[in-house]
Amino acid sequence: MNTPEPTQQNDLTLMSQISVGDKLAMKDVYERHAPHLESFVKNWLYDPSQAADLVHETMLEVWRNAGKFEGRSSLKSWIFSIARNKSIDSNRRNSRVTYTDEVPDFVEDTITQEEHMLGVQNAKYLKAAMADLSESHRRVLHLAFFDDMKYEDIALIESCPVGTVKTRIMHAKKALLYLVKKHKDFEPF
Amino acid sequence: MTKENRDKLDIAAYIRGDISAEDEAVFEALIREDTDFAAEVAFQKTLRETLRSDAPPKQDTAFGWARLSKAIDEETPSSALPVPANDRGPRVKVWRYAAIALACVVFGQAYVIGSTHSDDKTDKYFMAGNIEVQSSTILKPANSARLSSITEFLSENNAMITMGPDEDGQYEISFQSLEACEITLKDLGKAGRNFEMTTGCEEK
Repeated sequence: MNTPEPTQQNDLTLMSQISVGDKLAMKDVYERHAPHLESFVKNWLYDPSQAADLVHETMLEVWRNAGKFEGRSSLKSWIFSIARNKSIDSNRRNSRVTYTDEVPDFVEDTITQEEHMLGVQNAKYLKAAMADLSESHRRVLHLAFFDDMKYEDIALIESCPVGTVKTRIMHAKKALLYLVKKHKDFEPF
Repeated sequence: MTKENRDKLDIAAYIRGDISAEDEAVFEALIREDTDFAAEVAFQKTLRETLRSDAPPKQDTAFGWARLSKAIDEETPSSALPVPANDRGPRVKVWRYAAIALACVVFGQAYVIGSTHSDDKTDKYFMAGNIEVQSSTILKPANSARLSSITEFLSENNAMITMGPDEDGQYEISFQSLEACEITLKDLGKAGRNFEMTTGCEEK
């Protein structure tokens, strides 16, 4: 039997149960969100091996602050935004220089039909191109296309307006297609 | 349809199947008529499929939950919490480990194997002998060991945590079979990971 899709109302009920110390409700939240959360934070952390620890800390924070959840966003995006803040702190502590492929800043906010088709026809390069994206670009694409999050939820997690999310996704796609082209051009014969 | 109007369409929602039948019809008509739009939808579909094809296998949350449950218990006075009937919690594990310890003494098979190396850069683990069951053993990480290192170590050795941590910070780990346990323990002995193995798995 499939687990029913969480709804806003379910989320609120669960969180109010947790706020009065219901561990079974917390277990339900943990089992539903921890696996996705771990895959999500791996994209954020300089050291992905710390992902399990970060999930633990995030979930402990959920337990402590369950009463503060007001249901204005989905529970998933609320939890992810806690994880995001913790990831930023963790990265600050472990700050290091990262090297990513140089991607030009794109001024145009459109992607041509040819560029889109380049991405479709060269899907095999998409994964490699994703790895070369900047962290912020990789993150928004992951949230939008892997986690299937709505712009509003991504905005909450990224702490920015919805318009900024749309622009960032557009630029991320543009950068991704640029990198796909680079990978394709460098393919050995 | 103007570009402005087209930009307002939520392609991601269409791909997720998260729109009404009426909107879906609008999308499909537009895909037929507008090759630019069709290319954009095709790209987003490809991107989603590619990312999702890379999804890690569904993880077992038992270990993470056991750890969280312990942390919750530690910071919440037990008198303040309702005790759900079907959540046995860590206290049950106390008698279980006591029984295991007794079994170890009775069968004379318990050893405490400790790290004799002193490489501070590597996490240290101690393993206390084979326990009565076919393919389980107890893992007691040193206080300085990181959880991520423990899970990495277990995953490399085809083992999984089935219980723990208990009040002493010990985990019960299990193997797929007795044979797997024996092979793994042998490998651990020569793995150069600050382990010294002097015991194996024995069928009860």
